[in-house]
Amino acid sequence: MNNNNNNFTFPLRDYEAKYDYKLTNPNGKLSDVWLHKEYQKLSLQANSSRERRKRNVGEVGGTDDDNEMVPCEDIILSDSDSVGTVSGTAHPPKRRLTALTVNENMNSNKMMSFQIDSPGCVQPSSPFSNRSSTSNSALATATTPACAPTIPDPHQQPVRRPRTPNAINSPTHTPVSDEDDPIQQLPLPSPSASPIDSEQSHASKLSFESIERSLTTIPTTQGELMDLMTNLFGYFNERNQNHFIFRLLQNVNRASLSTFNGLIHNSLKRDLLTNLPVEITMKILKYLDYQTLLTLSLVCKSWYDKINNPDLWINLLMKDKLITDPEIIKQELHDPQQLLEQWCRLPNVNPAQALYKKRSIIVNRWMDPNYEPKRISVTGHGNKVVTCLQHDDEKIVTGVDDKCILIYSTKTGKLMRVLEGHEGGVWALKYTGNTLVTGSTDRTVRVWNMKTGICTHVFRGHTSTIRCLDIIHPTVVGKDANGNDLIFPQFPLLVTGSRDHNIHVWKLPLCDDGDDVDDDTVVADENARTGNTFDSSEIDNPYLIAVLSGHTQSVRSISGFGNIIISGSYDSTVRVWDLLDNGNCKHILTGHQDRVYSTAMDFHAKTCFSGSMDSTINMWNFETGKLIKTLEGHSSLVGLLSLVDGVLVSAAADATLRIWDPATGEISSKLKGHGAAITCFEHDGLRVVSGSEKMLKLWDVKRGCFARDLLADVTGGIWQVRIDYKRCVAAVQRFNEEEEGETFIEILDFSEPPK
Amino acid sequence: MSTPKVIIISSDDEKFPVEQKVAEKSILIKNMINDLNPDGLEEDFEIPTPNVRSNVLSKVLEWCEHHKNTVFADDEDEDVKKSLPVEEWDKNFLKVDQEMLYEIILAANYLNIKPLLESGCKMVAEMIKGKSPEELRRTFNIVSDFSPEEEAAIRRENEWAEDR
Repeated sequence: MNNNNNNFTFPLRDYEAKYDYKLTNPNGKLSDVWLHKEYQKLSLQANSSRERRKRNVGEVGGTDDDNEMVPCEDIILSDSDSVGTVSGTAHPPKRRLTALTVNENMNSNKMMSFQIDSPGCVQPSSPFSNRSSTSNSALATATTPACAPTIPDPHQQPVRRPRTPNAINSPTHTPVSDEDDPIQQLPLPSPSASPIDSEQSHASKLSFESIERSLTTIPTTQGELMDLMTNLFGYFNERNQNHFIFRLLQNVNRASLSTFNGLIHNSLKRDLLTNLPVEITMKILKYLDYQTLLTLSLVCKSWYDKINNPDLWINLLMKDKLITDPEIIKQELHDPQQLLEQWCRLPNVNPAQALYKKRSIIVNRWMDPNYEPKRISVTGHGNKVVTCLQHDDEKIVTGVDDKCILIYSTKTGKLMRVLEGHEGGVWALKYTGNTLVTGSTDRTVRVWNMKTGICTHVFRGHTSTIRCLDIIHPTVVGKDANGNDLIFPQFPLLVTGSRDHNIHVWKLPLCDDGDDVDDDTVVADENARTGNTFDSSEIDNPYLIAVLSGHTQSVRSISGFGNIIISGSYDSTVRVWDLLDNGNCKHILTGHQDRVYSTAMDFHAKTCFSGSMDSTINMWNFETGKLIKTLEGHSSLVGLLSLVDGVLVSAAADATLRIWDPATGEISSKLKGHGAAITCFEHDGLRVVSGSEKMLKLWDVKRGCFARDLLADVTGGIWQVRIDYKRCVAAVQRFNEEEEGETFIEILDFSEPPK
Repeated sequence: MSTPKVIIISSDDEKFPVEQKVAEKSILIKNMINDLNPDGLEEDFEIPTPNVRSNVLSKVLEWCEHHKNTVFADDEDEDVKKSLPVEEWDKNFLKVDQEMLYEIILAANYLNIKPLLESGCKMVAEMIKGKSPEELRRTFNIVSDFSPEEEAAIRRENEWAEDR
């Protein structure tokens, strides 16, 4: 309909009035007092609003406008069925305007005639009425000349329009307001419509008189005219006030519209964060990063309070991968006193925000080459190859190639314990709580209580070196038939892979359970030191769950989760074993051209990855057994793979690491900088720390680039490296002046409080 | 017989007849239709939206019309993952004054049109990003009620987050 709108100078001239700026109920009475439009605050409670609507309709038999119309006999409006049906959501009041269009036009005419006939009204109202309803142009133009001088009228010719705006919109033009109008609308009939009824209250006379009063003086100056017109404006009902302004705007040229546009646009600014309902504000804030949030907290007190919200910061801790496990967040926030004292200056910061600050500062320190972490360097235990290492806040457990397991204090670096018992080099270890399991070239698996230092169990059965092992914790693996969580395994399992081609699955005897452990310790120390021996060939072995046979060469790597075990072997295959199916081999994944050295699994995405001597990484669907993709790029043995928090990192003998998106198999970064084969690495989704001959490097996962060297003074190999959010623990080798190698445990701590 | 329409009625009693498909972008309306017409729509069906004025409703319905064939990921995903930019069409669509944006967000929330609510929220987030506190006050017409000392104390607390 706006196709013909080419009035360049007066852009709004040919627009139709719609919605809440339409002319409504032209025959309605005048408002008895100056009507300020109350701002209609939107209620989110649909029901209460509907209630109000119902009440309005029920009590008043319509709305303000309807009410107004009652005395106007010539408007035929029936609202009869609205009262009964409006309460049901299905059927809103069906408002019927009988012979509506005709009436509209009629009413328009009446209004015009009212304006013309009323002696006082002529002057102020006429300048606009000529634009009002052009279908009534004869009437309208007749009224124009009287007051033309005050308002420039560049378009004397009435603009051709097909219909009056109100006629176009007529089917819906009668509004139902939801507001409780505090102002009593007093009936004031239009003079031409019907004579003043004797029953009408004197109040209506008052309002009439007040209008009369304003009209007694004929304005003679610009100021007086302005005052008069502004005065009269308030006697419109709300929507007609809008309509009136619209008509004024139709007579405003582009330049002036632009003036008002800027003015209006600016005046509509509002404090969205404070005004919107809290849950929506939170939604908005969750799109923002920490720097923006902290900026917001400087704006004003109410914004400060909004930012000082634990949920927001917990959400951000997870989103920014500072802490990805909600349990750890809970633990950290359990007793926040120390956290707040050490990391915050302001007294009223919420602990979650303080925790974010702490973790973020620590990450920044890692990435800052100028930050020197607190360093502990431990030596004195010979020149041993550290083959495996795991640590936590208390202890660092290392397995070495000379039969021993050395446990150091993480805080002081002091050697706390030496676990002896294996008769060959230790090549694999893992612990949970105080239960440590180790695998050795002596073909045994040993279970240790690290608190007492005693070997509680010896598992025999493998006929060659145990090269890899994993612990599977109970976890939700799916839903059972009744929709309940299916948890598997019931108790932690130990999975061991050996050069004898086999995989053994054991029930892991936890020393923290306090079952038989204490007895062993107390009763027979010597016996305990050698451990209770359980052989997989014994029929009544209480720990052996399954022997998974099928590989035709050494099992080099194991990844277990839930009911699934992925094994990689020198026979170039990867096998998928399902413990819920009695440990049967579900799939043999073939595709590699050479030995498989490393595996990783994303249980929930049903994918697993394998790194091989053939320089490739294969991405498999372990459910279907299909090869999804071959990840190419490395130019030699891919010996190490690790998938954490949605980030897959591979390390190869070609001296590079690569970061991949495990969902697509696309490469996201190539990490180049090492001078020799990567011997070890660990990553946590944010940081990659990798070691090669003489180098220990830190890489930034997000940016996919080199961040810094962590140890500049290593002269030999980096045997092992592990990290947590605040520490890097590495086993390295240095050569002394006599060219003798010596093993060091290096502990770098980035978490010193700022004050 | 033509297909029955859904007639949505604004708070100021404007009627907006739209295709069922369009109306059902609002989960509130969709549920209402399904609950009250278990056998499907046989005739025009009126639904009042007493919280939404016609100007806003017409805008919201314009969005629904544009997106009537868009399939939105039906994820109740944790907030953690959400950070995508506003879709281009939505971005232009939501370039409105703050009052309108405010009312569109409220309407989308009330009518339960998640993707529109999301776009609206992202739009506000976009308005916020990259601005200084002073610029933010100007943007949202806010007067700071911090004393200079208070402001300085907060700045000190937040110093760590400044660009290195």
